[in-house]
Amino acid sequence: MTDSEQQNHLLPQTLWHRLYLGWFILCFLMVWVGTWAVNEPIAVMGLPLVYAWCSGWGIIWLCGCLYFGLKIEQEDAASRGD
Amino acid sequence: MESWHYTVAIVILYALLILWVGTGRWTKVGRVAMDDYFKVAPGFGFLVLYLGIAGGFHTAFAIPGSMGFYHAHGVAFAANILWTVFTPLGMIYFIGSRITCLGRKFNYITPADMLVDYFGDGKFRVFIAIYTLSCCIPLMTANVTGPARLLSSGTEGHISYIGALLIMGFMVMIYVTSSGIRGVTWTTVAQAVWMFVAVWAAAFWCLSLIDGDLLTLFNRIQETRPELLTLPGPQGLATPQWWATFPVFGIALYWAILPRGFMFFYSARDVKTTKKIGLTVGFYLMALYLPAMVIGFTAFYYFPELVGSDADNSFPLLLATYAPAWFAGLIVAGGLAAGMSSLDADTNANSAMLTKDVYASFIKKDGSDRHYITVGRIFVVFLVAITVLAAARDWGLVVLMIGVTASMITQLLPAVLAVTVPMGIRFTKVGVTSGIIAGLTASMLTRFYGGEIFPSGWRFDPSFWGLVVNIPVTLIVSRFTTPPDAQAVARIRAALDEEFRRSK
Repeated sequence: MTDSEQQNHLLPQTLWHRLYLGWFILCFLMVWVGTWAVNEPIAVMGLPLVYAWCSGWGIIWLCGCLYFGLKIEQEDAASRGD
Repeated sequence: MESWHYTVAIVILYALLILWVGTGRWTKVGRVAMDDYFKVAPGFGFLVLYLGIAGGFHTAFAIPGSMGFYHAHGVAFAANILWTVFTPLGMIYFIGSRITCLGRKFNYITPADMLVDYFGDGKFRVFIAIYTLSCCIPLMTANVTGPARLLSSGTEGHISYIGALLIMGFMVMIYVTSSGIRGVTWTTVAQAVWMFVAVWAAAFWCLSLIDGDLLTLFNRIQETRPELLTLPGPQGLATPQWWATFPVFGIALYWAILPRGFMFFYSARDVKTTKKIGLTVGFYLMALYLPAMVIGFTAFYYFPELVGSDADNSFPLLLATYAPAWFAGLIVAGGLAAGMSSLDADTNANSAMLTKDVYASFIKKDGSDRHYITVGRIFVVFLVAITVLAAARDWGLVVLMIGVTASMITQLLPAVLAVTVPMGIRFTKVGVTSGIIAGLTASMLTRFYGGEIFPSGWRFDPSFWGLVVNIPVTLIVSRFTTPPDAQAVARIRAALDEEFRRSK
């Protein structure tokens, strides 16, 4: 890691940080932009498609970031020697 | 007994429970110190703070506001999923954990403590405190208005709207003056559980009311008003510009840096606790809005004629007309929980700012902690009184002010980022102050004159336009003005490096 990367806290530091950020952006785009592609009055398990799409991606977003966040924690604990 | 008596009985039960939880021995602490009254010096663990933050983040907009929104704008409400996930995973996990780190290391009590430690003390402290306070009064007002209406309708008007405001204000006053943030957090734990149960119970009751399931409800809405099932909604609210900016710039970015957010982050036991809450609290926040859709659509099915601000009354009306009295009482108490859980947190945070940033910094600098806590309690009474008085007056003005609040708090973001996220970029006190003023001016202009200034495709959220102006002004002015004290910057930087940039 270069000095500038080490100094800039905005830049992801490890692979798990990058995956967290990448997953965050991907899921954000799916809810933010993707919703317009499914904007039809169709029922999915009784829910409007727009709602099912946003909720579904919201849950995927949460689960993925939870997984990567726990990996970051494990990595931090290892570097602390816990 | 008349039916409304049952509603009142359940609300009294709820009130007694909250007063017991908010003033019990678990809220007491041996030492008399500001850092153990406005925040929790030893820190809360995961579960208590999780529910505290979850309840504190869901305001009266959760019950009954969200149901009214579904009634009026349909699935456009799904935009809220963006913030219920973005705020925890982006703001709490990334920024909140850094606020916890600095707050614990340097024993900050108010948001201004952190900012002035980096940028330098003096008039900047009072500027930040007054600026933030002026944003928060409308927010507190908004939190009592909806639940007060709910309580008044739920008791068929036997408790007047003003009476309902006074009951909520009085309860908050008792447990915040008695126990500070401990009372706030423990009651919010109980309120978070109650509102969660209430809103899911209400959704199942709504499905039983239409004698069907989710698909039956969907089909009935499609037959009566299909526009509710797609964007931009029947009133055209959810344009691509609104969808792109409102959930992030209008809510997510400011929600976590409200003073109440700072107090919760400062009160976390450690950075790990805040990070874990960031990773998981989105599940709770999202899970409250699925039943809200069922309730909002059911209310629309029964009362499609309600429009404008009357749509907000659709759920209380549904309860008053069709629900058994005991059940209405459960939901009304859930509404009170949603409103009070944010009002108390705001009251505590604002009282801390008035005490520490204004009174202790400019009026009486050498008081004891006991004296400052007494002053803080007086400010609690003062703030609750102002909130109740404002809520009793012009609601239209309050709605307008909530939007203004969002824009104002969002303009603090560059200053908060400058302190918490070292980037190798120069930020100065004059720079961030100029950015805040320029950003606020831009967001106000677009809020009030945006329709005349911009063509329809450019009508993004005013908070977004504020940041578009704020950030370059902050950076440019910072280049030509005196930088903050190098030692203070290095000290804060070292604390963040130690926690977040250990060599891997």
